[in-house]
Amino acid sequence: MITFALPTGRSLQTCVKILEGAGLPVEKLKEPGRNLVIEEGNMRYLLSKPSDVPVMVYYGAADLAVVGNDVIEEAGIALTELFDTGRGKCVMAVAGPPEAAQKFRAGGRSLMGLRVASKYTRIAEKTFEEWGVQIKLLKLNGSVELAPALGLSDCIFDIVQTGRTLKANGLMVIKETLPVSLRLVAGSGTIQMNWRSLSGVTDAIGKFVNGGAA
Amino acid sequence: MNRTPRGCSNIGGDGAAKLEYCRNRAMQLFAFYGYRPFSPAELQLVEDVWNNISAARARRLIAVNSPFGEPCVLRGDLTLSAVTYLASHFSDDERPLRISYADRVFSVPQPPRHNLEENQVGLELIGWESAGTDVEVLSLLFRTLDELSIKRSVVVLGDVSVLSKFFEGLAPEVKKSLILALCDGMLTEYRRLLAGSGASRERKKFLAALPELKGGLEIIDEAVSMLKNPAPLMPLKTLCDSLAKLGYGERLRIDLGFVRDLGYYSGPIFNAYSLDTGAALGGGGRYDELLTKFGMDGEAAGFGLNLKELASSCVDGSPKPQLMLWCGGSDPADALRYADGLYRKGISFELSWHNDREESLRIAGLRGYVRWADYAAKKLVLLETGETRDLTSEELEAF
Repeated sequence: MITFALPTGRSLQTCVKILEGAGLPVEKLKEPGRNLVIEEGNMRYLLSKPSDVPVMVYYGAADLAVVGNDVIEEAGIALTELFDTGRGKCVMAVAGPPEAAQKFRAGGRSLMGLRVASKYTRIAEKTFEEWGVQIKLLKLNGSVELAPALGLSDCIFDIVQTGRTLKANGLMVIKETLPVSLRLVAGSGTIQMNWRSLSGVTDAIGKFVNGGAA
Repeated sequence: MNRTPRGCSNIGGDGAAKLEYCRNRAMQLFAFYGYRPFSPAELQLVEDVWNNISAARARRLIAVNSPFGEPCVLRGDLTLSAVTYLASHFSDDERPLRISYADRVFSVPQPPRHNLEENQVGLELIGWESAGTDVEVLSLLFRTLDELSIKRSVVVLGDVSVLSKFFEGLAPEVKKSLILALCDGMLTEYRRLLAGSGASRERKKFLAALPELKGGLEIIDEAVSMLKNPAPLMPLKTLCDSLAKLGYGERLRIDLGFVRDLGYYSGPIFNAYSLDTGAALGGGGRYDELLTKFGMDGEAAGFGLNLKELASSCVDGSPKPQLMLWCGGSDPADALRYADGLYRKGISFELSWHNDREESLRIAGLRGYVRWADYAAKKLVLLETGETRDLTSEELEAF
């Protein structure tokens, strides 16, 4: 039995398509209802909040997982990334109103003390550190786009997919940073101990995401 | 409220007993094989550490200033402590040196962990002995796990010198990036770098397969069949053959893409895992180049095991005392003389000085004792059944 952790929410259906494309059993997974553990064939699927997926893999509760690299980076947990599925693509970006964009254009001192709202505080801190910019970080758990309009921040640091939410809130992408997509990951210990029992599944997923037949 | 600092923990009760049991069994085993205990300083000078470990590892060191104004770190690595000590305290003709240790190491935790400290037990073999070094160290690792009844365990073996030979001829920065990608487990990045590495098609094919060459001992033969010149793999094959002869073949796994992040390994490297819990129990490897940095030649290998993980995987544990001996109201000197007699008979016990017999019995029950004895009345009570017997020599012999 191979245990696979999958993120609930908007990524789940993309994950199901990847697994189905790789020839894995997913009938029950397509309509999980309230079940958090689903067994099909020799697969056990754990449905979990995205941010909990890396921990499950790290501690070996799941052998494999498909999860966004934004989630992995934010968790700061070292996992083995087997494949970039190329699905669920979006980008981590700094966004803000025109005044914030102006500050970025001016660069240097004008960015010092910039107030940044984000769900992804760990990645935000790392990114601005790499740019040599000291910021005041505000951790928000949702509706980050509201922060500049409410005067809570100068800009936001968030995932951008279509940009429609930004536009609706009077914000624009100022700087794109980390490309994000769903990744196939495993714990390093699991990989070292059980590679041969997992490689059939990982090969099938690899072939599917790279355009080959499963 | 008595609060421990974040990232630290006090260990007591059965956990501490098991930890101590594992520590003692391992250190006794090492002593039988000629390893002498070494107790390193809690602080290491920054200058001794900084350039001898990987940058990623160095960033996790916990820096402190000693009261004498010397820049130090809390000991983050016992191997480095051992090598710096040996380099400055022993002459060449005293080698090979065998040392063992059981102590704490400190580092900034990596998520999702929070602990600043780890209890390790391990050994280092440093000197000029040939092929036996790796076999001795690895077999002692297996023996330690066996001694602690962690037989459902595996050791994953790789070799960084083999890996280095596989990448030979590539541009140094490409080679470095490829190894770093393997070390970080970023296989997507590894494949991307490989595609642009300038390696021949045939070589790319082998290097692309490298991270997947993991499994039982058959992996070495598989890799040999893929290479025009399999010579670099032969020392690893010989090592595996020796370990298989010792009966450890079934518990060996090979990972030819295995890199450890400490930055000083130069030959075979290994990790040990519990198959029951999946926990990493520890690891080690060969570090000849580290010796060179400290002005010593020869081979060096060692391992460190995480004592807390050993304790939680170990089925056995420190045996509880066999008896609670109630001496309340008796002359302490007489009671202790009697207790000395028990000790000489090999009977373990805990003394109870409580004045109230019933209270002493209650505490014995609470602590899980099976036997409770009244020293003054020379009566033995079996706590599970309540049966009372005379505390005779014959009764004690039967313990």
